[in-house]
Amino acid sequence: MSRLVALAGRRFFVRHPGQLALAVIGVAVGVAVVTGVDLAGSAARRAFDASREAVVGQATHQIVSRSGPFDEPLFRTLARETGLPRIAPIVEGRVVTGDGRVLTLTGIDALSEAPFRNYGTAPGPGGPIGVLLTEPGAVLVTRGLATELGIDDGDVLRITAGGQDHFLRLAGFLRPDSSRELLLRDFIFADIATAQEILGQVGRLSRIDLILDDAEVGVVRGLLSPGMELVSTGARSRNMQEMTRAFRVNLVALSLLALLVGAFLVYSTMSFLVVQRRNLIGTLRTMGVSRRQVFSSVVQESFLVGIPGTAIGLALGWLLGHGLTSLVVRTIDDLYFRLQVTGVPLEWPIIAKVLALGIGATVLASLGPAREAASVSPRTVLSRASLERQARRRLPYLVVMAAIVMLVAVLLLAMDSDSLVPGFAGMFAVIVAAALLAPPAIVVLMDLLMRVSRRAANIPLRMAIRGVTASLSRTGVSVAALMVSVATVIGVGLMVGSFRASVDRWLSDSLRSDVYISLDEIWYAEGGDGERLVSALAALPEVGHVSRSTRERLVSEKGEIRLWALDPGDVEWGLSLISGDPEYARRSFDAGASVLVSEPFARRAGLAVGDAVELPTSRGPVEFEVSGIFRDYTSDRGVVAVHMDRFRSDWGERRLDGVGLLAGSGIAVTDLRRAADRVLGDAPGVRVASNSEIRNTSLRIFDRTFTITRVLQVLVGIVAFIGVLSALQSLQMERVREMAVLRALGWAPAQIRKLVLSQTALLGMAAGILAMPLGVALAVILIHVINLRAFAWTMAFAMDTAVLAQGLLLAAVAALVGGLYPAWRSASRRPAADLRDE
Amino acid sequence: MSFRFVGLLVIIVVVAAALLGRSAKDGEKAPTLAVSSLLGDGTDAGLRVADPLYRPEFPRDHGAHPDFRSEWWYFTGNLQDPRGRPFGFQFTIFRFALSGQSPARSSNWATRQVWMAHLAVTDVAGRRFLRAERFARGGKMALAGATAAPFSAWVGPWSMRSEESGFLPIELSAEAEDFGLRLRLAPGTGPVLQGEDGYSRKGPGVGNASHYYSYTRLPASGEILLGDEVVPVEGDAWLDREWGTSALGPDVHGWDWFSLQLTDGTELMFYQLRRGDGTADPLSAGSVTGPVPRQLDYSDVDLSPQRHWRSPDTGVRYPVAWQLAVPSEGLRLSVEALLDPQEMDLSVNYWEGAVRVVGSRAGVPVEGRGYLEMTGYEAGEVSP
Repeated sequence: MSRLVALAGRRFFVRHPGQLALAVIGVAVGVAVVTGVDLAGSAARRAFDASREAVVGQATHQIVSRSGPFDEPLFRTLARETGLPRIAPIVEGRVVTGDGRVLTLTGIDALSEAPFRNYGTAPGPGGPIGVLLTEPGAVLVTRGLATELGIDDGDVLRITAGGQDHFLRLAGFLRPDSSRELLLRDFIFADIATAQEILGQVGRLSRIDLILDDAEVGVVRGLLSPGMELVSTGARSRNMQEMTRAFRVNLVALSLLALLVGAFLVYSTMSFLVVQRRNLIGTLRTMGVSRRQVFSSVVQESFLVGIPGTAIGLALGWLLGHGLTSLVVRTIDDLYFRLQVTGVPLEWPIIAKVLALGIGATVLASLGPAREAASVSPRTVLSRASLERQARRRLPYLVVMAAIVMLVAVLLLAMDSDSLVPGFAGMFAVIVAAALLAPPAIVVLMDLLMRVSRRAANIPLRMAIRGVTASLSRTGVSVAALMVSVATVIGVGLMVGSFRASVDRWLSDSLRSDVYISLDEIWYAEGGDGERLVSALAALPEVGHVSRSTRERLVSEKGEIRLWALDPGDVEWGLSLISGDPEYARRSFDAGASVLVSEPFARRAGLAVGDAVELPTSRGPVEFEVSGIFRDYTSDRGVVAVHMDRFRSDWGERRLDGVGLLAGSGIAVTDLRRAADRVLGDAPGVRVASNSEIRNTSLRIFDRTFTITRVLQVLVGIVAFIGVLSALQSLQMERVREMAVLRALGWAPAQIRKLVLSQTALLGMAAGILAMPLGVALAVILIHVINLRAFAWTMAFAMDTAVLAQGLLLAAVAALVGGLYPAWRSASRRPAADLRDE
Repeated sequence: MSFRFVGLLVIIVVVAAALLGRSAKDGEKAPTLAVSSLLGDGTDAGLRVADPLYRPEFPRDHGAHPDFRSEWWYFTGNLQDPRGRPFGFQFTIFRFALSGQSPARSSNWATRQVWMAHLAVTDVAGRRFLRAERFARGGKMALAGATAAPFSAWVGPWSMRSEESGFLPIELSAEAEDFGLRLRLAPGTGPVLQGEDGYSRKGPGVGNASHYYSYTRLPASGEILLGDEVVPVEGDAWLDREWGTSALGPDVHGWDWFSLQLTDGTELMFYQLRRGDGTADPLSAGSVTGPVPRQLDYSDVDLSPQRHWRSPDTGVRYPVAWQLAVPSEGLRLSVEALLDPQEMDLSVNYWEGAVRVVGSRAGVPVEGRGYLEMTGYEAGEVSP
């Protein structure tokens, strides 16, 4: 008997391959998006791990000094007296090649390195390590770098370090695995003795890498003098992880949304399959097929959709993953740090996860329809009309359920938590509530439309409107799916628009100078002097005012702190305060008595104006008063601004990396820039940019960051579109007889087409209209909950009616395009055959 | 214990490279190296070679000889706890010069010396063989080094040093992650100059030799650390000191080296240089102590393997039981490993372990303990 049931199900798919294909495609696209995002995320994470390993290796801790290189006897103490087995000294510094390329010269002790890093040096007698040790100036680089520098094994490379020329000899090649190759292209490896001599650091180390267990940490801490710090690389990499976590979480959320829409689609297909076979199921039941058999047969059928859909989705997702990876990596490159991705391998954990998700979602989506099928009683096969009545009777329950889900959503969103999970859960709950509300809302909308059109409309249009309501049991789910995806498009669009507007306003507020000059290591390596440059620039008649700044990263046990030392001079400082008294803040900032913190910093550290923040200075930790909180979108980790004079006295650092010039009155920016260029000459390591260039670049990077968001939006839209297509097609298929009757009554094929198209357009409009409030709600949640928690910055919500209109248009077009084929099919059937069917 | 790591200059270069080539993350083991396959050419500009006319002098020669390619301080011994539970130990510090010249450098890290230490404890009752190694560079940083008077040699925290102004007693102290030892070695038998007044030939030609002396029996006491367990122990140790810049003969594949302490108060050292066909090279040699100490050459000793053990880790098959006869001394001895798995599968691969001795001297039963080192048993090894 079960075989009969299964056979009946299979026959249905054989007779309606289009239905099966659409359902499979829907699941496939949903799965592909999840897979693609997952792959991109894990590729980015792997790249991140590789870059971290290239930097810190396997070290669990590092010993660093707040004031740069430190005396080397500490290493002997640690290595000989404590007997720590895994400890490696590092001497590191910047060198500049003849053609101006900046590289890091890393001095290692090869005999201490084994547990830490793998450089893949060629083994074998006469290998390069011995040469490294015994020959002053011997270095190793990757083949890639050697090629870029145009040198080969044995060649001599001239570099400049600290203003002095040195000659290095290439003694061999590092052979890192491909994931690290590019990262190591910025490094020259030498023996620690060579590095000390070239970098002028004899007697001093840049850091000590260690692999420590908990007990050893205490021992090492006890041996460190003030000013020295033991930092866990875990804290460092957590810091780096944190930086991109928010970004990655957002991607995952979008991909899950796509799967959600895909599951909607499966649900609608499966329930349609059930609805359409009620007669068949009824017949089977009279023949003695049990409810359980019917139930399990429907669930089994869902595998027919789920398995091929997931398999195809996996393959598509793998392709998509490549594209998304480059987008993710580019964003991380732009915003955070350099990453290199070498491959997007489809690994078993991802495959397993996606299989479970894809097939699981499909089966889950089939449970409802399966239950419905099982409830069909053998004797009374319900008519379509009674079925629709039943669907309409359920509407109040949907409203109640929606209310409950919405309550949960509100509770989740209101939770006072820094975690993104309740935020996303709340957002999904809002979506589910909206989806539950969709069918009753359609009825209300259509009733309204019916009343409005009572007089004006012709019969076909009114039939179309009635038809939407009358086919609610089929159309409800697909309208909901379309609505969700359109709402996502609207919500994300509004959020990105609001964000962009806020960033734009912030850029114009904070870019107070006309021309900006940035100075990098090359400039200093070539003997540049920041203060002398400032004096020379200030003396120019075109220059009205000069401001100076330096960015510095402080290492503390709590993580990295970005310090921004600033001397705005006596003009406006370009900081827009969110909180704090502007006058007091400026006065005490200028006096060096307080610092300002950026909004994300304040939020993450739980700081308010008047609180104190502890910063690691070169004299040890010092508490600073926070006199203001300023808006800033440069770092989601936050920034601390301190006056340049205070920075110099507390950190002993005199370098400048940014100089801002304000044109004197009546001077054109182009003239100012030309004057600055004259002073700077063609010195390497200097970049000059005007206010508007910086602003444009910033916005360009901003837009690039959200490219991936747009791509995902489009994909979500595709899933929804397929859903609509599938639902409409099955609907039309089911109404074959109805159409045949209309044809028999004298309707022309064109009229049938019009009827079908107007009905689908109405569905689309309904979805579009319903998507608007949901989209706005999503935007508000994204801005005030998700972004705030992920990035800790606020932005003003900016309503953009164009985005709403686009959403409406998208829904209508999707529905209309989705209706084209069914309309053509309906109109081109032969009514006689269809009528004879029964 | 001659020349056992002669030519380790090459090894160390390979070892360091192998270490760097190893992915610590994957937990892969570095390819271990066949000792004998690395014995390279014996000459390098600037390095000194052994001089047949040189006579070791003390305390001067307890210290380092940086102008020779390789050098070691090689302690082994058999110990037991108060209830008679037997242990073996090896603690060796090796020094290798990577080149003959050392240009003037300003960095304290600059050096041409690389130091390596091997540590092993055999827990016979527990059937455990624990081993570890450490590396450090020479140079003014003094991460590793050796001094003559008072004597000390160290690689990181692992050290051997005189307790007083004289060479003995010596304190050995080394702790690896899960085992270690702290031993005090009292004066005993030695120094014994091996070869011709401490000039020990290793290969053809003048200078292809090492300077070699031994302390053949040093009463030892102290403790062995096994995890959290501290085991008080006593027993006898043996020290071999050797330095040189030499190479093996062309057909020598490896060696079997014995240091045996017999209950009749005598000690026997013998190394067999093994050729490709399994026969002994004529440069094989040794010595016996006792009322009439004498040097042994290869014709004095009959050696035959009795039983083999194949290492499950490296697949190398070692003879772990031997018959050793010195007819001219009336000695017939059976030498057998206290534990078969005593393979040092570290950066350099060899078998070095505690052995028990039973047999007779001129028909009178005699027993003993000692250490056995075997190299050159790697499968598929080809002649140089």
